Amino acid sequence: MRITNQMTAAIVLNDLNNCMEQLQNTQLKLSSGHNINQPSDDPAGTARVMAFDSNLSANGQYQRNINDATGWLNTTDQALANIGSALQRVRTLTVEGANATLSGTDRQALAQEVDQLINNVVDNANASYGDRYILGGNHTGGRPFSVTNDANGEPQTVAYSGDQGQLNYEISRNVTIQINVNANSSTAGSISVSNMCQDLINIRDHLKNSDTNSLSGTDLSNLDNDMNNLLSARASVGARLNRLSLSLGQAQTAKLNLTSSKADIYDVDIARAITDFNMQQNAYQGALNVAARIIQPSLVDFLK
Amino acid sequence: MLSTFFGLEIARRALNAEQAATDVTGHNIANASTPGYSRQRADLAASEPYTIPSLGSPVMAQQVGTGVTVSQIERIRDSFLDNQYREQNSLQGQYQIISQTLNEVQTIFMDPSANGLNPVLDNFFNSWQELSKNAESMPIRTSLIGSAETLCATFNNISSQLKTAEDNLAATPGGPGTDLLSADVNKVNNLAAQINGLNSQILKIKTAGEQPNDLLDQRDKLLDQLSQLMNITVTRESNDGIKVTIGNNASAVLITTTASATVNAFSASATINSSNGTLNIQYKLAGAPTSISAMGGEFDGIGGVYDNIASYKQKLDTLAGALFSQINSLHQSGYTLTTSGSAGATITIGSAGGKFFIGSSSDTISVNPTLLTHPNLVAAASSNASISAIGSAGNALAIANLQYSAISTLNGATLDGFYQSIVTGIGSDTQRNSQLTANQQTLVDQVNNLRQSVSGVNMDEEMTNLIQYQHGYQAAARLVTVLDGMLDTLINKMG
Repeated sequence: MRITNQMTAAIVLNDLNNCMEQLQNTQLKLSSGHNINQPSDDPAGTARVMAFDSNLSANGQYQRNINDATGWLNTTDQALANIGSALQRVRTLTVEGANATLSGTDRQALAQEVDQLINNVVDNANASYGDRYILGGNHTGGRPFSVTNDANGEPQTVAYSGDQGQLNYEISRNVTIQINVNANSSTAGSISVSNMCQDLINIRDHLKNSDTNSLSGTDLSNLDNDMNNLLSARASVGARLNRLSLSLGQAQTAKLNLTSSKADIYDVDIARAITDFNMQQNAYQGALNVAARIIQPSLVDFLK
Repeated sequence: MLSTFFGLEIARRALNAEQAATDVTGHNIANASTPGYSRQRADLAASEPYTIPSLGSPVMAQQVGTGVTVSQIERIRDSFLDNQYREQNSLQGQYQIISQTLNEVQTIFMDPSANGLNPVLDNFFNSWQELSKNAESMPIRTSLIGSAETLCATFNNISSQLKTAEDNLAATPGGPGTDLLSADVNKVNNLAAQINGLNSQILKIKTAGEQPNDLLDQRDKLLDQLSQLMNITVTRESNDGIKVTIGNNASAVLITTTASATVNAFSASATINSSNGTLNIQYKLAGAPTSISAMGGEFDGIGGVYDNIASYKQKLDTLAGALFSQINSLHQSGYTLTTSGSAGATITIGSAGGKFFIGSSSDTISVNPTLLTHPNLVAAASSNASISAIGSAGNALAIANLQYSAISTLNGATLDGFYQSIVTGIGSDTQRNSQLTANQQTLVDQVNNLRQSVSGVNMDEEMTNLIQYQHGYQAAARLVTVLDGMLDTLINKMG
């Protein structure tokens, strides 16, 4: 085939350009650190990377949700524990008050302490997490429990102004957990703070009246019932906290897996890219060398 | 008996011929780098032999040669290769436009980076998750509305950039005329006018019996440029004239030299289908009543890639529409709050939620403006919430869960999944077209090299010829000297 000057020039330019293009692609990958700089670099890989990104974003959100739920439940647990301590103290006082050897004035003193403990229970039942009340169901804006005192400042009734609503957080796809405790439920076996306080008010009244029969009979059994229900509620909170801790661990592991799977596709293997770059650079220099030798000589150089 | 100066005449003819051949070689050397130049060759032929007349017979046994003459200056060009080149060049023009435009379009989407629509969509749904944990918090509501605004802005931005890309390709009549379609139509008419001008000159020169080599080179170069814009068929006519028809339609005549050099005006008008946004281009030649189809070249490229962009835009609109209808329907079944939580005011559950988004296509979608100033109107609460149940967040959770629900208007895909498939589609289209373009470029280069091999100037060859003609000239000059000597003997030394 007849070779002409323009042909040689065109072929040489084309080949040099191809080398340059490869070099540039590798350089772009090295400087951005990514294998995929635009969707056409790897369409299937792009789809998977985008899916991983979405999953990682959701995973992060779930971890945040789990942490928030854990905080809320810890606060609930503390409040219930405090109520439990108060009830325990009332029990001691009730047993003491049931002792026939006490005088009326002694029992008055006990009754006063029970008043304070009633207020303590209500305070704890009105606990808040941030600025939201945790034991009011969906009525998170105002204190769920209120005490009505008589003219002497002694509590007479405790009313509940919340509802039985659930607060649900999503901790994993389509998996929700109820993070609140319904503190005034009428279901058997659940705690009801207003009924609990009614029992405490009864105890105080019986102490004031020195009604030792009730004190050692119905009052004690009601109190024991209330304390058992409280323990069940705390157990439920504890179980949920355990579950959240497990879920957090699983979410963290999932995040590690997602991140590494994404990196397999998306991140550049630096060692390999640099090796490629060196190889291509050598090829380019070789091409330049050969080009210089082909383009220059012609018969003109050799004719006198 | 031959005349006295017969030999000098032969030498003179030799000198002329060698000089002409050298000049042609010089012309080749000078134009070695000229693009589109075909090398020329002086065809030397023995001139008409001379029969010596005699009384006895009109034809002698021998005829005397009378030297050399340049019969013609031949232009070395293979028109078959030219046709092949133009075919491949048309395809190249088509693929190049598609590939170039798709590369621009895919940068509009900016995925899979952290700036694309995908992370913005994820953030939007994460904001609903945050709201589901703290339904009455005004800061969280404001932040949710902020992420919704970002989402809408991203949709609007992508949509408008796609529209700009479309407008750059082809504008409907009455547009500013800066689009590629108008530019190409102007180019076609320009090139056709130039070719027509060359045609009339070539016809004149050819009828006068001369060989318009350089004009033919210029015309071929213009035809190559024309072939990039559309499919042309070039047929030869008398006196080196040509007829150029468009596509494989034999009656779509752009340029002809049959009666005289004539050119027909070419025009294109674009209309957009309102149903799916695709382009309809009517190509017309003056004098031909029906419009032309199968244009090939850049014109088909423009039509093809415009339709691609229109389909991407439609899919984006479908996504925006699904977002609009799904979120609005859930939002309108939830309940709002009554105040924005100004100091001292009590917040309670309000009424049913209104629209969250207004505008259902990707260029019009935006957040309901009342929500911007009244974040309490975001309907997070479930529909059965009592008046003080401000912590109710069932609706917010339901909206957050839309992210992974299969949506019927998206053919059962999730919102995320549908968007990801749009981007992947663009990526595959771009990759495929880049590959086609690269392959086609190789073909075009190959044919061009073949053309060059036939018509290009090889410096070594020209140098060799130059030496050959130089020696020929020297020998002819020597012949003159010898004949001069002989004539000198005859004239000065005889008698």
